[in-house]
Amino acid sequence: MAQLELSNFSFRYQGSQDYVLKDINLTLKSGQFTLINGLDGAGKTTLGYALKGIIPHVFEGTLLGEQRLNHKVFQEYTHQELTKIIGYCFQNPWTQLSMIKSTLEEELSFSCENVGYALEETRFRVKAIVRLLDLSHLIHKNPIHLSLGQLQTIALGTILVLDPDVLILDEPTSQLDPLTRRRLFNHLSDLKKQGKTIILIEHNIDDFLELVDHLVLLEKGSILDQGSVIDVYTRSLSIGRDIQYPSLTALLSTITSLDKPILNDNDALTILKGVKSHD
Amino acid sequence: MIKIEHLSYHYSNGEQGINDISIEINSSTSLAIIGPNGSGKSTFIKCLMGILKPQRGSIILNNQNINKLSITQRSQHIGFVFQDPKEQLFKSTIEQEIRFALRKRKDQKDIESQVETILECCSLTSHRSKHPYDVSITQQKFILIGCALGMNQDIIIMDEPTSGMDYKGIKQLAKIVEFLKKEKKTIIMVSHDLDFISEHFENVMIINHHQCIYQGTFKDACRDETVLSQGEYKLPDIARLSLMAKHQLCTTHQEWIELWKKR
Repeated sequence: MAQLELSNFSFRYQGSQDYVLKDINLTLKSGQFTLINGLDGAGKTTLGYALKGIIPHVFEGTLLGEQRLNHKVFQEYTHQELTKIIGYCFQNPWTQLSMIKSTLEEELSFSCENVGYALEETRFRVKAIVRLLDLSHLIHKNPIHLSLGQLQTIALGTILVLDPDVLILDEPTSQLDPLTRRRLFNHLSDLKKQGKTIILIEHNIDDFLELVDHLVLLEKGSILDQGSVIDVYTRSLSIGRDIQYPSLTALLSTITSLDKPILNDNDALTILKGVKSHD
Repeated sequence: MIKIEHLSYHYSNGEQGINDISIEINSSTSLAIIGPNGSGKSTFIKCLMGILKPQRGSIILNNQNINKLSITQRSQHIGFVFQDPKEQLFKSTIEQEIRFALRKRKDQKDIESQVETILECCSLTSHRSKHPYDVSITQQKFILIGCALGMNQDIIIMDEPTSGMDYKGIKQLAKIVEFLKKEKKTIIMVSHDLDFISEHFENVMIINHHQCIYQGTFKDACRDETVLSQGEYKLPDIARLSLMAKHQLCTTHQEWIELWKKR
C-alpha cells in the first residue's frame, strides 16, 4: 500500500533555463490507476522521474515543492528504500537492462540481487515472473539476440520481479504486438486488484482506459486537467481542446458533434444510429 | 519492382530469423508488414537492406539480383529508418545529420534549400542546432525520416516509425507518407499500428513464426476475419464500426465520411 504525492512541485534540470515541471499538485492514492498523457516534451517522463525519486536522487537541478511517499518527504528515504517500494520501467528497454548478463534468467535475477534478496527468494521470484509473462522459451537467450518488442517485455519483468507497491511505466507498449499488449493489460488489471498504485505514461491510451481511475493531461510542464476519464474528456470536448482523444471519440467526432467521450462499440453504435445522413 | 524469392535467414547461434519468404512488391506501392514480436519482421527488412546476408533465396530489384550488393550500393535505391533512432544518429547537430544525407548532391543552392525544406516538413527547424540525443524520440525519428527524404531513394523502408510517437507526430508522419506516395516512391513499413496502416497503406504482409502467412491488400485482409486474427490483430476501429453500423467496409477517413453522406 503506498500513496504518492507531489505538492507545488516544480523542477528544472541542471544547466537548463526552463522549468520542465511547473507547480504540479498530484495525489496518487493507494491502489489508484493513473494515466498520464500529453505531447512529447510535455514533461511526462520527468514527472515519472519525480514520482520515483530519480529526481533528485540521480538527476540534479532546481526543485521546488515536495514529493511525499506515505506522507513522508522523499528526502527521508534512501534511494534504495525508494527502489524497493517504487518500480520504474524506462521507455527504452536498453536503459532498463543491465546488459552485463548473458541470459535473461540472469538479468531477471540481477534485479533481485540488486536489492539484496537471498538466492532462494530470487529463484522463486524469477520463476513466478517467467510464468506470468510467458517467457520460458526465452530465458536462456542472450538479450542481444532478442527483438526490441521482446526486450520491452523483459524490461517490464525486471521490475515486476521485485513486486513493488508502486509501479511507474513509461510507454511500456510502444514496441509491443497486440497479443503482448493485451497480456500487459491483464497483468496491470491483476496488479490493480492487488492494490498496487500504478502510473502509466502512454500514447496508446485506448488499450488501457478501462482500468484508469485518474487521468492527468500534461501540457508544457503543467497539469492541463485531471480527474476521471469521463470528466476530463467531457470538459475537453465542451471547450474544444486540441488534445489526443480516445480513438472512437476522435472517429465519431469526424461525422457528428459529441458532448461526452465514446469509449466502447456499444456507445458508438448508439450514436451512429442517431446520425442523420447528410449531403 | 522488388521480387523476393524463398528468402531465409538464420542467426549464427542457430536462431531462426525468417523462413522461406517470397513476395513481389511493385514499384510505387505501399506495403505494411505486421506480425508478433520476435516473428522476423525486422530480420526481413534488414535482409532487404543488406545488413543481414540471407543464407538462401534472392532479392531481385529491377531485374537485378542484389544479394551480392553491399549496403552502400543498395543505399542508392533503398532508404532506411531504424526502429531505434539512436542506432542511426551520429552527428553532433540535427542540421548536420540532414546535411550528411545530402552530401552527394553537387548544387550548393539546392542543398541549402533542401535543408530548409526538410527541417520544415519534419518540424525540426527550431531544433536544428540541438544535439540529436537532446530531443524527444518522436523528433529523433523525424531526423531519420528527414535524412531518408534527403537521400531521395526510390524505396523507403521504415521500422515501426509510429512507435513512441505522440498523436501530432503521427499526423505529421501521415503527411510525409502521403507526400512519398505522390512522389511515386515504394514504401515498406513495419508496424503494429493498424489504424495508421488502414489509412495509408495499400498492401499488407503478415509474418508469424518467421514465415509469411498472408500477403494481399489491406482491404482483403479486413474482409476475412481469420486473416488478421492469425496475427492476434483486431480490425481497425474505422473498419469495425463501418461494418457494424452500415455493413460496408471503410478503411480510410475519406471513405468513412463518404459513407455518412450517402442517403
